[in-house]
Amino acid sequence: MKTILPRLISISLIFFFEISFAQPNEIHFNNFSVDEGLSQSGVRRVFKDHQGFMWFGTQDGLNRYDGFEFKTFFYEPNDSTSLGNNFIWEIFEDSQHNLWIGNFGGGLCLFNRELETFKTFYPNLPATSNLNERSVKYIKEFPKGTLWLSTHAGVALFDLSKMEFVENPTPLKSFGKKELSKMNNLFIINENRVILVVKNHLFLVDINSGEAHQMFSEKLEISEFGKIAKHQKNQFWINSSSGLLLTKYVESADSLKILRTYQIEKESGKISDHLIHDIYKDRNGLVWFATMKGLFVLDSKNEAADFINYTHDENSPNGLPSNFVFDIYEDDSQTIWLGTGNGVSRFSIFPPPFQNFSFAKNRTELCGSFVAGIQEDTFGNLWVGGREGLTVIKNFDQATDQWEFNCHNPTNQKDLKHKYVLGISKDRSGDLWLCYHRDGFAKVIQNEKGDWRLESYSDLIAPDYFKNHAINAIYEDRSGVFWIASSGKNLIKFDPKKKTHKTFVYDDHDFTKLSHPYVYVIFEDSKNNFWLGTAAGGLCKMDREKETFTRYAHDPNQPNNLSHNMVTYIFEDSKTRLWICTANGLNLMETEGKFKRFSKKDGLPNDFTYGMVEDKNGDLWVSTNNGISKITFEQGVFTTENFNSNHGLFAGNEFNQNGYFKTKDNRLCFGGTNGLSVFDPNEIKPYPFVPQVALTDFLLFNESVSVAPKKIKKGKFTLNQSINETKEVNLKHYQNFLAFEFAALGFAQSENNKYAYQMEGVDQDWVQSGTRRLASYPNLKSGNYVFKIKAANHEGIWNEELKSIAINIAPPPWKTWWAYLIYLATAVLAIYGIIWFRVQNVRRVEKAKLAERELFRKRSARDFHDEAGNQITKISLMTEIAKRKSNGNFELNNLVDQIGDEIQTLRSGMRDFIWVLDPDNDNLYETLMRLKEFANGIFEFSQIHFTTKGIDEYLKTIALSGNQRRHLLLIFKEGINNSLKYSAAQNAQFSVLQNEEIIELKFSDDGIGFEKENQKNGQGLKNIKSRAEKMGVKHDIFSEKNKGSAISIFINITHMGN
Amino acid sequence: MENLIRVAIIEDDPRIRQLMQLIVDGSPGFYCHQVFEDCESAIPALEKNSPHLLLLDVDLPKMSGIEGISLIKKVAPNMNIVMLTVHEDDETVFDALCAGAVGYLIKGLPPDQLLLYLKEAHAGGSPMSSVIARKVVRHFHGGQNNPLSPRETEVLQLLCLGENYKTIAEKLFVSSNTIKAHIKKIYSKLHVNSRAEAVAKAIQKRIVR
Repeated sequence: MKTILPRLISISLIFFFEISFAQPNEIHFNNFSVDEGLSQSGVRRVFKDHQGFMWFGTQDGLNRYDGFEFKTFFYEPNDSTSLGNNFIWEIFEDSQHNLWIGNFGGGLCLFNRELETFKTFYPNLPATSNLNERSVKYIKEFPKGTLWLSTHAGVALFDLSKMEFVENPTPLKSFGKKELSKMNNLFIINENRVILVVKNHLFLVDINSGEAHQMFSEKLEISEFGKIAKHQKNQFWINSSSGLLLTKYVESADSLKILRTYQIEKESGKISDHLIHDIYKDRNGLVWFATMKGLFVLDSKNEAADFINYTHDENSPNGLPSNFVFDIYEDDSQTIWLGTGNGVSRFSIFPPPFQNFSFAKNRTELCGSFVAGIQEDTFGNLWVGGREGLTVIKNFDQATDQWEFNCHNPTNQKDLKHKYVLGISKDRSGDLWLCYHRDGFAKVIQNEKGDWRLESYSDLIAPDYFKNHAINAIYEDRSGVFWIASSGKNLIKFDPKKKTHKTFVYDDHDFTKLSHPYVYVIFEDSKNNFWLGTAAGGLCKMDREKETFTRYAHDPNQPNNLSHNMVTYIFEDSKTRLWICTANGLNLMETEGKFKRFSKKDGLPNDFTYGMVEDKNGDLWVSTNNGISKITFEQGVFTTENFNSNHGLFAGNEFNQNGYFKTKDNRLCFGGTNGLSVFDPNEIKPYPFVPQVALTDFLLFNESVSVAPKKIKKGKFTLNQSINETKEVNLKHYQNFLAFEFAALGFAQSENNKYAYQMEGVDQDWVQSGTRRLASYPNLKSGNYVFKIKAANHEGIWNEELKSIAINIAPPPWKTWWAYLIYLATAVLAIYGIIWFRVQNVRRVEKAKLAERELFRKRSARDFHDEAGNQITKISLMTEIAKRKSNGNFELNNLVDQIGDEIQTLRSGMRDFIWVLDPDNDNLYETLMRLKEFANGIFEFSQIHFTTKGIDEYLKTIALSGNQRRHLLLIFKEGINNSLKYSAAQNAQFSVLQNEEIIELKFSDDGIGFEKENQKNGQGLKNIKSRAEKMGVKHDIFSEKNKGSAISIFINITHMGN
Repeated sequence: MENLIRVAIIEDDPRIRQLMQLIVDGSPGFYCHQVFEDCESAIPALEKNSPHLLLLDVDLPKMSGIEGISLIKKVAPNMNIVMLTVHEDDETVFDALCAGAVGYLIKGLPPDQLLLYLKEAHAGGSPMSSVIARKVVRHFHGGQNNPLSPRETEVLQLLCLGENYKTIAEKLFVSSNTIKAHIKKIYSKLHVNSRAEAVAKAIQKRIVR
């Protein structure tokens, strides 16, 4: 009897739990509402757009959420570009990424992302224009390019390519005006068939032809049709007054067939549309129902499954926020978002590695939520102690569906002395010992089948000895000695068989004794050291032979000692490192008495550490008051990876004493204030969803830049489009203090998303921003830059798709390209100028030098001539005197005359020589002038009348070299002299005749002429000839008896050159 | 004695000086008893006893011929100074003309020509080479108003072209003597002009200073 009843109860409980266990994991709802920034708490629609922003449509305003801030859009009466109405029914993004808003009475609104304004379209429906008609409550795109809208007074089709409503759409053509105005529901089955509901008549309509057939007319007396939602291909749910109809479209029969009718609530009467607002089947096959009575879920894969209801519970902050659930939306990161009457709620359906068991309204695996003490017996059962009783999970080592949860308390288990089992220890034989919170401890006696009973040791020392004290642990050391760690009754050594015992009492002042009466943990390490952790006396090492203790306590004045005197656990890892968990940090004993401390600073989620387990990979897991942490400590590097309820670990975040355990098969168990979490560490995978990143603000000189489509020339800089849509920003040179604000659109743990940015042109590499969402650049120089930003999720997995924006800061006017051009031109001109001056200088110098040289030549020649001239003068004078003194001596006279002549010739030659040297005389004109003067001089006192002809100034342009001039002079001087001496002419003339390129210089007289053959003349003629040759000119000599004579020189101008 | 042309010579080369004196003095119609080797010794003597004609060497080592001209002109204003030069195109010749010389003679000329020119110089008609003529033209162009009469300008231009007295006289339908007179006039104007210019320059310099 005693055993049957509990068994019956257990069995019934088993039965109950079995069904309820085959269900999804516990749901941890993450909620936010008006307090966090939502415009209003009644959220009717949730949607995520292609950029990653979350949109919440409330009853008063449209909200866009980036994980941190809400941007709200309202209806402004005087602004036609504002939202049509604040009561939002529907948010939809079409295949071209246009965002459409359906609201109550405000028409169909299209959101303009660039300007963040709306354009409203009003359907032209047959019903008289009223609010209902303009209330768009449902938008769907099918096929691509056409929107179907359902309003409160009709259905309309919108053509996306033309951006206008379709007039008289085909699918509606079977319906009359009145019917159309009462058409309030639609569901598209496929590209050919659509369901249209007119009041309480459901029609199956051929989209292409417009033919409509009514369904369900006689069979079911359905007075109302509610939400219709997709279940799978050609299967859908129809909520009706007869129940939830799981319906199938049979193509062959072109009709609808009801597969099954569900009743979501057994006792309720009529179920109307108002009850079920939304139906959604998620990727795991669970069908969710948003109703006015909370959230329901049905496992459609399980035929026998029943609806599970989640309702609002005042006391659970991570439960459903309201019983009014309006919308269910699954986003791309396996998160289900709910629009409820009290804000937005979301939970993850991404299978976490953690299996959570607890005690709550619909989860009753454990006796209670508060778990302390976990142990495994040799039969594959997991024993879980807690405040409300002892739970034994049978077949824990087998598949989940084999598990049996049995809750034991003193009521159903008489030998269980106390319901609160705070520790379950195991001795060296594998037997379990239960440590009670009060009233001692007991040994578990199990038979070969695993059935068990308890043997009490509460009265070991004395009856009621432990009435007011807890037993923390029972420990059997290697030599088979049993020890009791008690709270307040010191350390007790005992023999379970002989029932003998010895207490080691603490002594505050005797340092060889136990340091504190509360012993939390006993541990024998691999070197046979015997360690004790106390509640306020630190760590003690016991010499069991001598029965003395060495204590290691916390000393704030010394470094490297124990971090806190409350030692919760002692653990030796596989590398024989001794770890001490305390109330203020984790310690590693490096050498006896020297400890290395680890705390929150080093990455632990919390400083209050409870216990530690090591998984089979060698990683250490520590439980704290804020989740658990996987730690490693290798080569001086301490790493942590923290997990809490956000990761799906629901037992915590506050964990408990003795609430940590590693099973034989390497699963880890952690118990906390909210139940038990079990997982395989190898199953923990990184969060696979990486967030998109968006620019949320652009600041100039720390002020947000607003979007103004038209250029308001007030001097304030504005953007043409919202910063997230902007590809390029062009700024003036003084607008150089910029900042960007950004957000990662990943909502699992928004605050832990990480960012990295880089301004190309300024930053050498990516700047790791951590969780900071602001990048600022003061004092940017003019130039073209590109700002790039990327984000990582809370686990540090980066989305390599980055967002970039070009920033162009114009150069100041004095640095623009045309300014530079001016500088360049100036520089070039300057250089040119310098070069020119120098060239001029050089030339001048050259000229001066040349002139100087000439002058020198001239002077030297002049000086020589002067010298020689003086000599000649003297000789000339002397010959004159000699002549005068010759006294009639004819021969002498003659000789002297000849001397005189020769002197004159010499003189003349010298003077010519000097004349030739002068570069100013280097042309034909000067030469001929000289000749003329010479001739004039010669003929002046003679009978011959000398004239010239043709010696004109243009002859200055004909250059002659020194030699040429000399020869020319000599030729004609000779001729002139001869003419004077021998011709006895009356007239002599020197003429210049130009015939094209040939200039003829001719000296002629009308004298007696001379004989060419005459030897006397031969020499002279030869001279003329050779001189002409030397000059490089042709010559001609004419002479005839009594007909005069002439000497001609022909100069070819082109040969002379310049 | 009255018809003899009295000539003085200032020449630094002793041999030339001696020879010239011999020739000039030994030629009929000439009387040359005053010879000096430099201006310094000549000036006081010439003051006492000034001849008709002074032959002055341009190239004197101490006081130059040009400097000498102005001093000599003071002591013997009516004396005609003719420059003796080896080279007629010398710049100093022109400067001498500007300073007051009435003509120039080439030293190396055959003596009979030399004597002929002396006679001409005494008569007042020194030759002007085209080079000198051009310098004269340039000189007068530099001045403010051209003091030359149109006739003189004509003559000057023809001289520039290298014409001799005969041809110029033919061209202008006047006698050679007229031409010589014109040339003499040109010389004196040159002298006046350059003196005036020098004074003006000096005044300017004083003002500038």
